[in-house]
Amino acid sequence: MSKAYILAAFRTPACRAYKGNFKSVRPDDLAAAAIKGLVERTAIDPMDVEDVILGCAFPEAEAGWDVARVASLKAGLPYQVPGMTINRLCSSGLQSIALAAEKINAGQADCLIAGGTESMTCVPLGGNKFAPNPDLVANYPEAFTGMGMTAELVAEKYGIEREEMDAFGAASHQKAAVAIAAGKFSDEIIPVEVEYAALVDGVMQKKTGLVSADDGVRAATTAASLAKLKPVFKLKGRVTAGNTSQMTDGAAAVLVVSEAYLKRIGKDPIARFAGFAVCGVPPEIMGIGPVEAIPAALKAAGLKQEDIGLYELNEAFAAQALAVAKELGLNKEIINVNGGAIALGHPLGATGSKLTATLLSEMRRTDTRYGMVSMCIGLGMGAAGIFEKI
Amino acid sequence: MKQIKRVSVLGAGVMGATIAAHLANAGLDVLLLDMVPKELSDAEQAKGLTLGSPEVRNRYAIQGKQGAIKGKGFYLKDFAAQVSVGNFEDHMEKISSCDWVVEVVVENMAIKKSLITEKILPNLTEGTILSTNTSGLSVNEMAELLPEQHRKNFLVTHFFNPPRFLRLLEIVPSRYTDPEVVSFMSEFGSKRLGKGIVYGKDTPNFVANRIGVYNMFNAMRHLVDLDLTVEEADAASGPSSARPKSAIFRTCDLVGNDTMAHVCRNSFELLSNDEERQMFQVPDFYSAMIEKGLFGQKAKQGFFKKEKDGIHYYDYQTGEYRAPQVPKFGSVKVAKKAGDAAAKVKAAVNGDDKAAEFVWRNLRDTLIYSFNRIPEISDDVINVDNAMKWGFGWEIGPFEMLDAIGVQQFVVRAESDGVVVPAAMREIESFYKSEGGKKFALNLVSGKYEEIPVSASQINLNRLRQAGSVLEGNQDASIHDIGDGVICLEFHSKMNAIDLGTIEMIEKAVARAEAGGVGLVVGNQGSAFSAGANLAYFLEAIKAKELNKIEELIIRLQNALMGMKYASVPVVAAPFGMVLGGGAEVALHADVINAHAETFMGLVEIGVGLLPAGGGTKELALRAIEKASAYRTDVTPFISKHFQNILMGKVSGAAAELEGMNYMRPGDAVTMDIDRLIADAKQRVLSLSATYRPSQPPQNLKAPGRDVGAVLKSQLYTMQVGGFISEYEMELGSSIAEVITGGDVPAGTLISEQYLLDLERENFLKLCGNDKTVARIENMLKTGKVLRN
Repeated sequence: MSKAYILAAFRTPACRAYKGNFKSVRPDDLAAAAIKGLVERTAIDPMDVEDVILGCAFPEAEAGWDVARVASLKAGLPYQVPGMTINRLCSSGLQSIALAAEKINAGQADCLIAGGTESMTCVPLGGNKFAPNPDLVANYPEAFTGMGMTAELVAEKYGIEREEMDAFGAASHQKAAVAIAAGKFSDEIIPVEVEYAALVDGVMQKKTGLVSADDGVRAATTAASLAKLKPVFKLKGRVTAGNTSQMTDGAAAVLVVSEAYLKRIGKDPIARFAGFAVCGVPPEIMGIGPVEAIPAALKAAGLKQEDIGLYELNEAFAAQALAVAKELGLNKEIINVNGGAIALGHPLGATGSKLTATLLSEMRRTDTRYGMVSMCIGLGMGAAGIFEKI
Repeated sequence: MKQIKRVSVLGAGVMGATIAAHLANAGLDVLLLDMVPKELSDAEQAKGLTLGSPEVRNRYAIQGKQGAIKGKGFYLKDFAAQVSVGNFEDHMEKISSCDWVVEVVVENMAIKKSLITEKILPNLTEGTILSTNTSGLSVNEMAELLPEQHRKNFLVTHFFNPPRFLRLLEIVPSRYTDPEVVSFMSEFGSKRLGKGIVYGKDTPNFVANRIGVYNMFNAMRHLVDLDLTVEEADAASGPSSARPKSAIFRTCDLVGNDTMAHVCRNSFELLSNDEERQMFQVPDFYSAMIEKGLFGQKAKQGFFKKEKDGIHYYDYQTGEYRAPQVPKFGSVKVAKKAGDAAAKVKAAVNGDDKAAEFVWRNLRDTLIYSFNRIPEISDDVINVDNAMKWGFGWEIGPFEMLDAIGVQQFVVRAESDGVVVPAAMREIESFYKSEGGKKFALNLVSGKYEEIPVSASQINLNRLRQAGSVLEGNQDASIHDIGDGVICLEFHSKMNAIDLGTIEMIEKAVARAEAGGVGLVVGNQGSAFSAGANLAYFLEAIKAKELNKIEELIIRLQNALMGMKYASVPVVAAPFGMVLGGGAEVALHADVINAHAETFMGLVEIGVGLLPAGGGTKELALRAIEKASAYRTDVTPFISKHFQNILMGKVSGAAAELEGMNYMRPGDAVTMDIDRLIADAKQRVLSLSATYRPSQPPQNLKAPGRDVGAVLKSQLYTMQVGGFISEYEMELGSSIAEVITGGDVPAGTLISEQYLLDLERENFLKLCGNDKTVARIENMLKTGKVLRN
């Protein structure tokens, strides 16, 4: 079996949906920026790329029409390079890497771009037209339990208290703020040029600017300030906007290659894709998905939990992240050391690739051998992928 | 023709800001200015602002505007954009472009004078109307400050707090005011601002406050004499004696006890010749309250104080608050059920307990005081009665109360109390009388009855009725000929609830209008357009297991409203006040709605465990489908919004909100002046009739179907799991979802209006058979509140 390597992983900044710097940027343009940046920074010949596989959780409208193909063309890749969009909701960006790795494992490819893109500003969670299956709604309504409600159910089932969740949320912001101040994300971020247009005194003024930083982090957030927020999903509930991931716009791109390709171009990879798993759980407690996926991925990679030195465990909700850590007995010190989605945002289909970029830079910085990306998935699933630093 | 388009409001305290809000409600551009603060607030300092920052310099106006938004001064929050803010130092030149400048600064002659001379006059354009909102300072004294060219355009425009809700606008000219300016402002005030106009003279506190304040301080005397608690006194002097729920002492708290005392002291100073001058001495217990800061609502403590276990009252003897006793007086109970306002007053004063004695003594003195004020404060009794009705929320005014008690009975009883009754009162039989559809009021100066004219811009259904306008009627509704071929269907059942009698008259009114009329107005002049269907009828039928009776009624209502919708002549509904359930369904089936600005409309059936089945759910389904198909777009968001309206029983906070709810449509209209509502609706019928093309039933109506139904049901599921709705509400919601999406059919299946009506009816009957619906209806009938079972 041919091993799959990561030559590079980059991401755009992650910006708040509706209010942030990407509110007028399309998801295909975000993806194009990530792809273009990846090709430029790795200096590969674009004609080498055999396919572009992008994850997107709501691939419609501005993210429709096979956004991977649209973004490749927009990025200036030659028309000969095809593109495919895949969807496994919040794990799409990790699934795309896994899919590329599997092609390489199977000896069917040597150079693939994986990644993900999502503009929650353009296409909201649930899509432009939420249209659940009527039979399921009638006979298995749990399948479409609202996401916030699933977090409430997880909190109830696993005994996660509001105070813990708020403390977790505040810590996410504080860790992210420290990381940003230390410039930890600057290497993994591909800045995006953004156009701003505004009517000023009746005259349309246009200008462009380069967005190079995440904009959802609030350094001043404390557990006490989060404690003031009202629960939104359940009467007398515990899940609030403050202990939930932010709605975000962003994209990421990862170059997945074979050993043969590395030899041909004479470059060293940054990591090896060591294993991946995806599992199903009850849809109404979808947040618990990683509890099944993490052990399964470890098994696939032939590793033990103790081998993992860093986790990027997507903070869809503090409730589920805490429940996952509690159930598996994960070492909290090595989870999301630079903050997570509560501070840095969760651009759904891009998240898996985004977290990979963040994980790999931290692994390099801290010389950590094994790192893991994991997340829960709507409709009741969990995914996990393991990377070995080279 | 002179027009007012832009107004400056000078002074952004509660009164100024809420006047500004109401002017914005009327569609005017408003400039709200106030002083520049002398010091930075802590928050401003923290933000790094300086005394030069516009945000600081405009602080009072900004805060005033925010307060008006919070206090529901605006019909819609969006209307706040029409109020721009500024200050007296930087923006006074802007008043030069205004058509009207109204001064609302603190009630202090020196301050008002300096504002006028130093700030207003240098910037005032000739021809601009200048008014003061003083509640009692001398208009003539202020007019003396003005140069010749401005004097004629200066007058008092005195609004009552809150200006959006209290109808009174006192207009007081100075000796120099041009009568044309007075009549222009009266017309503007009533037509554009919806106010009830009362003319005052240059006397302290003008009309309403002169009598209202007397009434309250007089009540304090009798309170002590009769050894009542303020809680007992308020129980007696509220709605059971045709006065507002806030009665006497709660009203004091609302106004502000410091303000009340200030006005009282002022009155004592200025009214040196008043025969009741001593009444304007602040009682000791009241002074003590003010010293303690018990200012009322704004201080969260006054005569009453809200505590966790209820509303505590102030014991004026000990100075402590006491837990509510919820007093029950026989006379109050009897009076409440006596009938109309006149009957209530009569019953309230004639009871034989302490409550009745208190009401009698307080009204006795107040009514005599009112009588003695003519012609001092007003030349006619109508002005005084209107002032108390519109400014103090009395159902009938002092002279109408005298008529209700019987003037001579009043005289005899007052004299037997040893009270001095004005000699002239002994000669009077009544202050008002009606004859042949005309109403007359006694002119106290000439001693003659004079006809009370009805303005050409108004229609008064009661007067028309007396003049023989009713073509047909029953206990629930009447059909009037309101002239020019227009027919008016008037509901007059209790709360204008919809009953078999109402439905019968809907059928007949449509038939009459189609047979020989020009069109139909559906409107009335009761306390609400309609509070909905007659629930007691439903409950009785359910209990008697006669669901067929309910089915018959629903079919008849549906058919009657469909008849209205597809009538060959225009039908205009004129809703106002509460327009709930079946009442809303009536309005939804008119061609056009001409609503009063204060219209609280909603399909609230879920509160009683039902769904709108008089065509309301059908109509909202139809409107959603038609909107989506007009733009060939997805119907889900439209259906979702309309579903939420019904599921939440959403009621509009004003007519301005109804277009956003899709209950009103482009081409519908809003009338500000309640007295013009029927006349405006009639005009609407006439203008529609000129080019009228009857509506046609929609063709190719595509059902949103089970797919959109699943969206709604999935949301209901999450709401139920989240504890936002009960299991039964989930069932109710599912029924509504079923009907509004056209049932369990594939999306796009062609349906008809009648099919939707049948679905409404089937689901309605299904819900009638549920005990939880019965419990909801019973609870509503008993307590007026929704049971969330």
